[in-house]
Amino acid sequence: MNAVTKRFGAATVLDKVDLAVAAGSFTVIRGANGSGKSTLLRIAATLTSPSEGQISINGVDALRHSADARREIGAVMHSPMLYSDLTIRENLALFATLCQLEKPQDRVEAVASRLRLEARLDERVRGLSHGYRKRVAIARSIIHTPNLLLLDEPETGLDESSLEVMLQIVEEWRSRGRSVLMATHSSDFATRAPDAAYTMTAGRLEHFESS
Amino acid sequence: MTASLSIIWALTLKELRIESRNRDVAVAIVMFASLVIAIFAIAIEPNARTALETGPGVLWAAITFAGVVGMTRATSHELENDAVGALMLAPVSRDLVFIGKSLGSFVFLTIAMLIVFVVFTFMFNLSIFRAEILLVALLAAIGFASVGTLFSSLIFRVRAREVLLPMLFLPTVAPLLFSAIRVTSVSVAGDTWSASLPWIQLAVVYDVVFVTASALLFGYVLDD
Repeated sequence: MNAVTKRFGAATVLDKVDLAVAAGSFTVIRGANGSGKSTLLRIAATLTSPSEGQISINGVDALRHSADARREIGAVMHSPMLYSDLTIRENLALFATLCQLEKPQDRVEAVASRLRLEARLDERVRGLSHGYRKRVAIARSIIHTPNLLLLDEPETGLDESSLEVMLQIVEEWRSRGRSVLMATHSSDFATRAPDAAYTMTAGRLEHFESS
Repeated sequence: MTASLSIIWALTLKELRIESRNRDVAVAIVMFASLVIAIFAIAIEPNARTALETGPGVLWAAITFAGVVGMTRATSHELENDAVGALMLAPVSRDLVFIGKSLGSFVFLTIAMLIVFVVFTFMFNLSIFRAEILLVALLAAIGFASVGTLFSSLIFRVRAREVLLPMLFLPTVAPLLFSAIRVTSVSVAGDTWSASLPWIQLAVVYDVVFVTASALLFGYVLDD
């Protein structure tokens, strides 16, 4: 990200943010509620357009070729982004088909197994708890093995065992040369050995620490 | 090409699956339109002459207003859990998302229209199952579905969307509405195809222009 600014009316939510996430790294952004973390991640996920600045994901200009850039991205945002009247299997299969994956049903089974969702695959999302919905959202985010995983406060609503699974996924992504960018307000999460850590205050990003 | 078709089919299937489990969009359209037609039928007490004069207008006004109600319902599925975000995160062109969603709406509208036609035939005692009327109904469904998909996406995050949708939708589809009313009027009056042709041509031109424009604008309106 280069000099990314986002304004909503007169309010500047992001102010000339520069951020580079290295391949195979786990980068954490900490910050209070309303500091601009989620907006930054939504822009990185091409869900929101910046007012100014450039974004490149794995060499793809995300503003000019957003569909190609999204192939490189998996994202878990605040809301689970799932259709309540579809089952877990149908939600995941829809996304796998949109990603044009070969054998989408096999990928659905694989990620469901990874997130321990196999037993509930044919249940509708409407009947799931918040934690389960989050798990499905995580499963969807990794179904196409993206190079960049964007996690916006993923710890919210997850129990201990689900958190551990998620941390294993983060570690796996890092070890395979893929990247993870996580926004969190949990200091506990931010201390789990990130390669780079930043704090965001009033739309400005400051380097916090680096291991 | 095959990949694009499979994406469009997956999106259309998603719309149909959700509707088959709730039936709230098609039911909303059929119930609302049937009620409007019934109220007018009771108020007008149509005879052979008044049915010809007022019937076509009542039919298409009922379908158009019911279409707005149906589209408002359809939007609610996308808003729950911010589900539309999943489509926005998918590595596909927004054009394909637009086509898939519009196709789903087109199917609901067409089915609902056929049921409403039966209700209208019964209430006004006018036979409207004629080739030119069915053709203009098909063209109207295409236009309503594409313009409705665009506008309902435009106002996803607006609080007063139930009010805004008809304010945007109704003036925009007015030319399509007029052509549908005119084709129905001349057809039930016993005129030949040539009398309907200019209005069918208007509907075709409308669909070409508005489907293209809606597809081009959809990507922009879907962004925050």
